[in-house]
Amino acid sequence: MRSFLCLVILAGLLTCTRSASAQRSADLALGVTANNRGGFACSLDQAAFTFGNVDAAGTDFGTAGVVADGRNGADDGATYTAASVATWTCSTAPVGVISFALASSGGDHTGTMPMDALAVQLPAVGLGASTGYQPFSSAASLMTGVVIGNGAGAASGDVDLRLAVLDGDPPGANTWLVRITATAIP
Amino acid sequence: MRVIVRLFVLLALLVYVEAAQAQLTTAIAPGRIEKLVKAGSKAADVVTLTNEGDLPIQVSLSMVDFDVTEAGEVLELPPGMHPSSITPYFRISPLETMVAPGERALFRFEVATPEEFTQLRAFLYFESVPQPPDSMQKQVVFATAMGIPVYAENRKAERGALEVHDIQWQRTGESQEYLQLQATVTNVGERNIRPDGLLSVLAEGGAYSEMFTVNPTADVVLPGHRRVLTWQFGPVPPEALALELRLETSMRESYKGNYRIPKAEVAPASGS
Repeated sequence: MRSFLCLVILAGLLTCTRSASAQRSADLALGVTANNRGGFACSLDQAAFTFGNVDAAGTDFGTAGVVADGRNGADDGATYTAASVATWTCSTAPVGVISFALASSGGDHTGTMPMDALAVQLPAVGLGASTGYQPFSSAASLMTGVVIGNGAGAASGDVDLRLAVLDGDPPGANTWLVRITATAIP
Repeated sequence: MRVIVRLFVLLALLVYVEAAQAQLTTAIAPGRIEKLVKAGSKAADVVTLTNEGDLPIQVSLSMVDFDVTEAGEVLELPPGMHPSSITPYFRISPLETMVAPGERALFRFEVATPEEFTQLRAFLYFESVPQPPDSMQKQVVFATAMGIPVYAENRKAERGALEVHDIQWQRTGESQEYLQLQATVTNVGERNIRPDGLLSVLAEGGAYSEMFTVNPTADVVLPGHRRVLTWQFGPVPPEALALELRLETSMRESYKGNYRIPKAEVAPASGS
């Protein structure tokens, strides 16, 4: 009897083992999709700037970053220049070409001086071509053909400002909102 | 009392400096909108704008039509002026919104295409005007406007295809260390084409061998437009060069050409 029971148990174990080794495997597949939307980012490290006090005599009032160029002649005022008032940085994915232009208008200026007393320049970067100083309301191109990418391929450059003060300008406070467009070439 | 006054002045200066350092940064995705649609149907999607700067920004949207000259200059036109203008069929919302620092705004758009069209397009501008605090008394405030192109193309319109009219090579750079390719092409199809290609450069003697990607910035040739495309490759050695150019002109065809560039002529150095 004992031997018979041992035989049954042994047969059961063998069956169990055989069943365990007869498992089926199934291939699992996971479908993955991704929609790469790319991107375009631009920044200015300074949102605003001040020339401080200025006058038609080109007086140096000691405002940081502003250089007074003195009088231009007997009666046509003076020029104040502020280079690198801000640094722009743009990046795109995929790589693209960017152009910059002014987009300010009369409504973006308040004060006693002519709005185009202020001029804006983006010095050339890489292969980009700068157009030099452009009057505030000119809606002119500032720079074209800047090739930019992402990460290490991002491009940066400076924003320069120049302010002309004429003898005939009434004293008073002035403000300008400089609108710069960055356009991804189509 | 003297110590308290000094501390107050110091704190005020710190606040002023921090406001002066305020950064204006916006990121838009996608950087280009291109929809392939069935005529008479609608396509919808979302554009996201993220304010990665330090100040709240007032964002407002606008659109302009555009065309591209043979030389690649982009000409902007008032919306609705160009025959291919997408503006009569394009709706986006909101048109204005305030976005706080670190926040993201979603702009939902829909294009309802007409029954007959091949390509519709325009530039979509996102203007960001910072809202500096009253303590930030500045005379000049900067605002940025970022423009992305928007295209809707008819699925049944003919794919873009290039006819190559002329290929010109020249060496450029102070030491003539770059190669410039000028390709005059026309897109005879009804949809955009952004030609891919490869340029193989081999110096005489075989000491230099390099492969360059043509059109790495994915310049587009609009349908029906003739363009002079210019690309620069290098640096390359001054020896005479053998070039093999392959430029994709359609889904199935490529333009192939072999060229020889003479040895660079470098001006002799002046004696001291």
